[in-house]
Amino acid sequence: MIPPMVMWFKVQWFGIWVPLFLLWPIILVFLAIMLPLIFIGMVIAGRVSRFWVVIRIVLAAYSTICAARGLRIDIHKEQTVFEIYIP
Amino acid sequence: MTSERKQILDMLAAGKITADEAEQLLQLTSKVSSGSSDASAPPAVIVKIRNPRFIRIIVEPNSQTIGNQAQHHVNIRVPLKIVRAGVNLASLIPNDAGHMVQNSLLNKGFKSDLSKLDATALDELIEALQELSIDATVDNHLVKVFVE
Repeated sequence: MIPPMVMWFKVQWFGIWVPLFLLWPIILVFLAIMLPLIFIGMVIAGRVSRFWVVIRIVLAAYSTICAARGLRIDIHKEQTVFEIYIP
Repeated sequence: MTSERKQILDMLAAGKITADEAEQLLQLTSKVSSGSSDASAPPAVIVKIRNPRFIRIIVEPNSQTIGNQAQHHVNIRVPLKIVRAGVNLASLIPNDAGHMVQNSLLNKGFKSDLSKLDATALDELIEALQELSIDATVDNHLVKVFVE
């Protein structure tokens, strides 16, 4: 599964291709730092089993983001324009 | 009666396909059996029906609309994969938080217990969606909901 790399976002006249591929390395580094800290915190709290729930939530969130590829929302109402497209 | 025709009629009786789809399949099987090609091969149209990828919601102004009413254009395409992934993610929500979400949905008028929506129920739901096709006219707008 590959996460979406770009996203088209438009509100009224302002439209932009959001470079999501720049976001993923930052999130990866954030997770690499936070997950060991969460694990240590849970060991101290004596709730190590809950750590696997955290891992499952992270993986489920990742698969949800990957599944969002192909999503398209176009709404044009009089002067209002709202568009999201994830190729 | 050939086995293919019996299979199609069984699917129709079980409500897995619509009458129109059954008619298309029967026409295909009759063409295959009358031709020289391999009659044992399943008709390709089944694959097309069985693998919907998106739910589409389209709202367009009715071409017969007269006057200066507001015209709305809505085109929404939601991947079915995101529904499955969303249910998997929701199943990990702790019970306490799940009850809070449920109460909030009830307050908004959404009377459905999402905690009972597991993978099996979701598969049944998606299978039922394969036959979804809604055409309606609301406020001089054509509303179409279908899977593709």
